[in-house]
Amino acid sequence: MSEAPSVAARPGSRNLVEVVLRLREAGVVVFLVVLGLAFGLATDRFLSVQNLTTVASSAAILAIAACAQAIVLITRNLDVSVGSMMGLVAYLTADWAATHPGITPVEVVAIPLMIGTVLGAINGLLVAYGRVPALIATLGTMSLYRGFTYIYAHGQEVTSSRLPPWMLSSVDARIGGLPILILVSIAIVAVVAWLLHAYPFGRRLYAVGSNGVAAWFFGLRAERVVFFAYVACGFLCGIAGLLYAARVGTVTVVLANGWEMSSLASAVIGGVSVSGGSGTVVGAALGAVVLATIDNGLVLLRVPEFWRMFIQGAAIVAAVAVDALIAEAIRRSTGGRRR
Amino acid sequence: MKMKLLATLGAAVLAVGLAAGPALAQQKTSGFKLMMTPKWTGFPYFELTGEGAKAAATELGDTLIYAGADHAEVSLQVETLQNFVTQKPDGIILAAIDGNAVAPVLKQARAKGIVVGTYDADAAVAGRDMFVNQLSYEQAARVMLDAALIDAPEGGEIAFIAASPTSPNHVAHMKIMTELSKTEAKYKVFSVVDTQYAGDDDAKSYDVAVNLMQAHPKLKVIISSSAVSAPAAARAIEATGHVGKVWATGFALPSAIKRYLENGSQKAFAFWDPWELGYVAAYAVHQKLAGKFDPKEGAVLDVPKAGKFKTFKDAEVVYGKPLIFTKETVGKYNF
Repeated sequence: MSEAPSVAARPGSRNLVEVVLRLREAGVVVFLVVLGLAFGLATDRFLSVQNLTTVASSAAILAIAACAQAIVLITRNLDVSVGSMMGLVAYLTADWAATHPGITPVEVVAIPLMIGTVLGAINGLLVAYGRVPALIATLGTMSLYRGFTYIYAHGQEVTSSRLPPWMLSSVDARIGGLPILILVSIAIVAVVAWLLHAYPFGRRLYAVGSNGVAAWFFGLRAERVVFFAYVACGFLCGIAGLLYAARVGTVTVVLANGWEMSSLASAVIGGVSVSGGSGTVVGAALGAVVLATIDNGLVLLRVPEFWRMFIQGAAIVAAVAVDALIAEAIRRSTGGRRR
Repeated sequence: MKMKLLATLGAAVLAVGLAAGPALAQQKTSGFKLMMTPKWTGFPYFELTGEGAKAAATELGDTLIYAGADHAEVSLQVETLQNFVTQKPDGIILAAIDGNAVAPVLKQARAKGIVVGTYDADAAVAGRDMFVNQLSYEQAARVMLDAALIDAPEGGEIAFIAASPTSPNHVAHMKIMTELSKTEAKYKVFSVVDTQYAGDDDAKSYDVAVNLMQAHPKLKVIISSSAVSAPAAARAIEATGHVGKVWATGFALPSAIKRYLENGSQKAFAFWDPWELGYVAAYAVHQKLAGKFDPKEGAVLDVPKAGKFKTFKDAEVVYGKPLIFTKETVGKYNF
């Protein structure tokens, strides 16, 4: 992924930017290792295979949502409707599954993906073509999608006994001792990372995000790139919403409430810059693992809930601060040459 | 929803108009106009409380209108209550989303002579004439521990999942359960090892339950007063392969835990009968209007079909009939 920003950055600054970006990627890994060692020293229950599997399972769905958020962040936009998209997708899918007993696995996968894509496309149209600022547009659709879920649900919820049993048991399944949820999540993040790496679309995302004007001079149609970033985000939220519904079993109208923040936090902790153009989806997924690790480790250490919230908040603020410092450093070192 | 509300309100206006004549009579004993709003409509639990209340109203010769918004938002509930007040009912029955937020409109209602009764979730004491409480804190604590004893008769470590440290009923339940586990012989087999908070959020509860099982390898039972957290804990136990080693219990709607009871991964959960709770709440408000029941400490509300219910401090009428659901009984309930 390291060559990606080179589209926008001039050759002279390339090496430095590359080094810093690598550092950011490495930074998450280092942080994760330090965190793991600290928890490992503090409690012998942390570094067991079983517990690490638990952490990874908790992070699995958030990693997908973080990946979705990262794609949009890279284009220098953001999507605060992530949680609402997941909630709407999950409710519609669960309700459909509950009222159509003969539903096949293919339909259960296809429905959320289609709905997610449509919701993402609406966001994309508003931001890319409607020129509505990303925050305003997606704040609007955040309420819109959640509101629609309320209207549709009519106060009801879909309980686990109404869902087809295979839908629940398939997310609990294990392959070679590893929960399938983890494998699915790794596969999705890997595929997205590879697509962004191997196809021009990936490089265009970075180009549009790091320097929209330069990208325009290169002949890139920023609208289209941003639009597809939102579509991809919606698609991934469709997957995340489905997995979430199947995992928790009881689908309520508030499902994934607040996930816009946790996906954003994961992405930023994972080195995706809120000012666009840098970071990777793998980093964002690792950011989700960091959040899950903090959550798990602090419970193992019997840290009271209030401190957990405090520490998580501190981690997010620290990550954003580091992000700002790095962005400033890059700007200074390349400032003379980069417009 | 708005349409439904308008329609019911329209019907209410009509009904109030029809009832205006007799309403002027002095000491009435029947024919009261009751209006009821749950936390939100559409949810099977609240719909059943509404049906129970309607049944009581019909038997007693009253009319009852059940209306509200379709999600739990306090501003909408205040709006519903304001609409109620303008229609001059004799009595209002509600499950408060936020006890303090609804207090002002309820005080207005009471100032106009409307009898206000809360059920399920109380409003500020000054805002209502009585609170029909499903279970006292101690009853709730005991029934949850009894369910835990069905799960793990041999006892062991127990952990709690509550909504938040400021959720009064959950905190009180946990405090009493902790005390009972130290003082009462049959509950002494349990030792409380942890308390976590999950904010009535499914996913958070699930994660917290998973982490609790990691933190306490000898954990036997996860108990939650939250009807959201208890099923999520059951799901977490099933999904992480802890079936038969760890049990979840506490308050849960039968529909949410039916699957786990039927597949044998769980043994017992507790709740109460929402239909009868609604029935008793409407009955209590009727009796107060008819001058046959004064909710003072020690007063007894006699409901022939449901039982005799004692009144405690601050006009709290305790319904107090807990239910325990098991594999055999869960199929009988439709909420």
